[in-house]
Amino acid sequence: MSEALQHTDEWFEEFYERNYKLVYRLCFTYMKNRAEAEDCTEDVFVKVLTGNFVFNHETHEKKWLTVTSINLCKDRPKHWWKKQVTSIDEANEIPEENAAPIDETLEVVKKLPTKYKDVIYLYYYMDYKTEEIAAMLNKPPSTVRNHLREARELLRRQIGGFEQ
Amino acid sequence: MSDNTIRKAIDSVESENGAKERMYRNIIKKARQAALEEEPVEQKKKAALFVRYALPAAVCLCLLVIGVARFAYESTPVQAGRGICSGRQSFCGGGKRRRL
Repeated sequence: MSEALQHTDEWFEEFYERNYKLVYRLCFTYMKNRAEAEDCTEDVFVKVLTGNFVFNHETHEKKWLTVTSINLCKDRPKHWWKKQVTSIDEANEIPEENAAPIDETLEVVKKLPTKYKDVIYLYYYMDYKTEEIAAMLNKPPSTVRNHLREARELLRRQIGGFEQ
Repeated sequence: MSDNTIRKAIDSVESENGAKERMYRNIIKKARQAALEEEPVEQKKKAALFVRYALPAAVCLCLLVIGVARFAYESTPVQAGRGICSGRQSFCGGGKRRRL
């Protein structure tokens, strides 16, 4: 317990302040609603607290948070209980969620298959190069480039023209 | 549509009012719970490892010992006929098999 609590100091507050928007936005892109995005964001930071990770620099920190968030978001719907049950909180959340308008482009990105969402997010939002994305996702660079091309094609069809 | 459109779309995502503080509180709470549960998890892991590796190894060892003992017993030379054991037959294994 003491180990976990060691991080609840100024360092963690600063760390949270610095990164919570990034993690929340990423989780929201992957999850169905705000409640799930919040849950997922919490899990990412709990992992930081309980794992005693040491980040060498800000780039390392952001990379770790991005990969961890993506992995947690992907793992989450695998829980059979999640598939079967909608909690009362979530059920209450749905009308609220529908009431708040979401950007049209974001809506389309959210509906993309996960493999395309990964590359679109990392390439266009986080500005990583295809080689870096390949290393982060454990995929060959050529696969990443193919996914990017296919994702652009999908977006072009659904939204309109897409400049390289 | 340019790649800036995606950036702007994702940047437009903002958490609800008070969500930041709520999440922070939940994180601390979850981390405490995780730390409290850490010890039993370790014990469970040890028990699982024991069942997975030590138990089968012990069973294999027992079977090996029984097998070797049985083999050694069966391959012990026996003398047929009479002579060594005199007296009641039941003392000599019914007279069928006599160990030297």
